[in-house]
Amino acid sequence: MTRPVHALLVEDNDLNAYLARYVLEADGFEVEWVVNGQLALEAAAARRPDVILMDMRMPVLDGYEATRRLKADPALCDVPVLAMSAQALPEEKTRALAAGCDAHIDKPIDVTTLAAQIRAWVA
Amino acid sequence: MVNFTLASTSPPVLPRSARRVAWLLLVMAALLAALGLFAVTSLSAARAYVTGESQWSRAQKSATLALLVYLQSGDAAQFKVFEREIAVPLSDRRAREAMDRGSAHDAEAVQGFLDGRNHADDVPGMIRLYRCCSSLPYMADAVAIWREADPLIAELTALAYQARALPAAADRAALQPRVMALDARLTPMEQRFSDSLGLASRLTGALLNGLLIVGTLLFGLVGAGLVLRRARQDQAASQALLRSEALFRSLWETSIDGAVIIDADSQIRFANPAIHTLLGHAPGSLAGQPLAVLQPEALRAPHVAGLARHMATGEKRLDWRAVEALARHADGRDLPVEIRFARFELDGEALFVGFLHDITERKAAERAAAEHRRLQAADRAKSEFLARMSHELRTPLNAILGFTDLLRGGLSGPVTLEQVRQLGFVASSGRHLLALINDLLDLSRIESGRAEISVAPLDITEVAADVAGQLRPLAETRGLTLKLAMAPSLPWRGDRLKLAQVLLNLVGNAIKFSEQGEVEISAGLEGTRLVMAVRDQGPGVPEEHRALLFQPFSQLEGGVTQTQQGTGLGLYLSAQLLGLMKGSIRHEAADGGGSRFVVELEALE
Repeated sequence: MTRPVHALLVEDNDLNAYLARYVLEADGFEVEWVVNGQLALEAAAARRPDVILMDMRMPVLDGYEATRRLKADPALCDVPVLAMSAQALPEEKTRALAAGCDAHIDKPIDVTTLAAQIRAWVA
Repeated sequence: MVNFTLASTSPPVLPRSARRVAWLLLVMAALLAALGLFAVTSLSAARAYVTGESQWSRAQKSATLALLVYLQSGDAAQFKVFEREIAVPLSDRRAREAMDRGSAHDAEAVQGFLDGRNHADDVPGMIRLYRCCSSLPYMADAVAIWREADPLIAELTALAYQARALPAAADRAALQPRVMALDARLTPMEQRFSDSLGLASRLTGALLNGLLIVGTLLFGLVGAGLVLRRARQDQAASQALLRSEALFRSLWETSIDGAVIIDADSQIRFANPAIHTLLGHAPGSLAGQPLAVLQPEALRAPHVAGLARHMATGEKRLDWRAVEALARHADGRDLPVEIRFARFELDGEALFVGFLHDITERKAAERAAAEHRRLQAADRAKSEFLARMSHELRTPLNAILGFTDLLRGGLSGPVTLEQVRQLGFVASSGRHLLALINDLLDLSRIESGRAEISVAPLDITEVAADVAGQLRPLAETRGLTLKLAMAPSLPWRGDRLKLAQVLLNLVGNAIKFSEQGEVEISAGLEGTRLVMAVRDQGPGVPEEHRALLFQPFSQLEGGVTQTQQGTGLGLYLSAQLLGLMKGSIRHEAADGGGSRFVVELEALE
C-alpha cells in the first residue's frame, strides 16, 4: 500500500472544511486543515504537503497572498495549489491564477468528482 | 453707445522740445534786436561822421578864407576867426589820436569831438564806430584820407603863425599863394573823404539791411516751420488718439466677456454690449444704473462694504485677478461668473473696471466630472458588493449541496428510497438557487456595463457539440433526441463562453419544455452573418405570450411543471448577451408545432 496523499486544506468555513475533509478522507487522502493563509504557510513549511487546497477569501492572510508567498518559496513552489473558491466571477478566477494557483475548482464542489479532480494534480 | 477717452490730450508740462524751440526763438529775436540796434547806431555814427566832415570842411574853408583876408589886411580879428575855425580840424585830429591810443583816453576823444563841433549825442557812437570799423574797407580809406589831411592842416596853421610873425604886409601877402595851394590840395581830399565815408555808410546800410531782411526771413521761416511742425504733431497725436480709441472701442464692444466700469459709489458708468447680452439687459440700458442690478442680493452689502474699505485703506480683501461669484440676470437667475477687477484713475477720479467671464459651462463640466467620479465610486462599490454577494451566497450552498449529495449517494450511510427522493428535491432546489444566483450576477454585470467580450477564432460546430454533450444526458432522461445539423467545421470569430452560454440556455429550454420528439441545433453562414437555430417539437408558444418571451421572469404560467425548472431569466439573459455581441434573437413557430429560436450574429473584430 502506497503512502496516502497528503492534502493541506486551507478553509475558514467549518462546514465547508468538514465537507471537503469527509469527501477526501473517504477517498483515502490524509487531510491537514488550517483556517487561514498564515497558518497554511507555517504548516507547509513544517511539513511539505502533496497538494494545497486554497480558499481565497479568508481573514488574517487571504488565499491570493498566501499563494504568492508559497510560489515565491523555492522549497514549496512546485507544490500544486488548487484554488477552491465560491467566487464565480471570471475576473476573480483570473486573479487566483495570476496569484500563482495551478487550477480553480468552483464551489459548490461536486462531491462525486472532487477527489478525482485533485488526484489529477498529484504526481 | 459708450464714449470714453483713454488718454489725456494735453500734458501738464511743456515737453523739452517745445522749451528748446522757445529758447531758440528768443535767442533769434535777441540777435535780430541786437543787429537792428547795431545797424541803427552804426548808421547814425556814420551819419555823424559825414556831418562832422562837413563841419570840418566848412571850418577849414572858413579858416582859409579868414587867413587869406588876414594876409591881405593884417586884421587881427580875421586871425582870431582863423584860429577859431582851424581848431575844428585840429580837435577832430586830437580825438582820432586819442581813440588810437586806446579806450583809456576816451574822455580826451570825447572832448576832441565836442570841440570839433560834433553833437554830444553822436560822439559815443562815433567812437564805437571808429573802434569797430576803422579797419574795414572804405572806412580805412576815409581814416587814411583824414590822416593825410593832418600835415596840410598843420602846415596851414604853421603858415598862419609864420605870417603873423612877419612885420611887413607885403611879406604876408606873399604867403597867399601858398595858402591857396594848400587849400587847393585840401578841397579834393575833403571830397574823397566824404565820398569814401558815404560809400562806407551806404555799404554798411545795405549790408545791415540785407542782414536784417535775411534775419527776419529766417526768424519768420523758423517760426512758421515750428508752428507747422507743432500742428503736424498735434494732428498725428490726435490721429493716434483716434486710432487708439478705435482699437480699444473695438475690443470693448467685441469682447465676449462682459465688462463694466463703475465709480466709487458703485454706479455703472460704462457697460459693454456683451454684459447687456450676458445678463439680459436692453442694449445701452445699464449705464447710470447702480451695480446692484447685476448682483444677487447677498452680494450687494459685502460689495459696498468692501469698496468703501478699499477706498479708505487701499485694502483688497479678494484676489482681484480672479474671483468666482454670481451675477444676477435680468430674469432673476444667478449666473456663475469669474470676475477680474482693476482700478484706474480718470481725470483724478477712481474708477473700477470689472470683466465678467461666464463660467456656466465650466461649472456644469465640474459638476458632471464630480458626478462621474461619484458614479465611478458607486460602480466600484457595486462591483465589490456583487463579488461579496456571490461569495456569501455560494458559501452556504456549497455545504447544502455537498452534504445533500453525500447523503443522497449513500456515502454517509444507508438511506431509504423516500429519503433519496426527498434529498433529490433539496439538491434540485439548491441547484435552482445556484442557477438564479449565477443568472442574476450575469445580468447585473451586463446591465452595469462590466461584462466584457473576449473575441477569438472559434469553431461553431465544436461549441455546439460541446453544449450538446453537456445536455444529452438530460435529454435522454426525458426521452428526447438531441441532433446537430451543421457542417463538420464552421470557423467564426466571437466570444466562445458567451455563445456557449446562449446555446446552453436555448437547448436547455427546448429540452425542459418538450415532452417528446427531437431537439435540433442548426447553424450556417448567410452572407457575412452566422445564423443558429434551436428547434423543438414541444407544445410551442401561444401567440399571446410571444411578446413576453424575452422579458425577465415571464415563464408561461400553467404550462410549467415542477420538473421544468428554469430561472425565468434564461431568454432575457441570452438576449442581453447577444446584444453585447451585436447579435439578435427571435422566436418563430416551427413547422408541425413546437418552437424555433433563431440567433443571428455578425463576426466580431
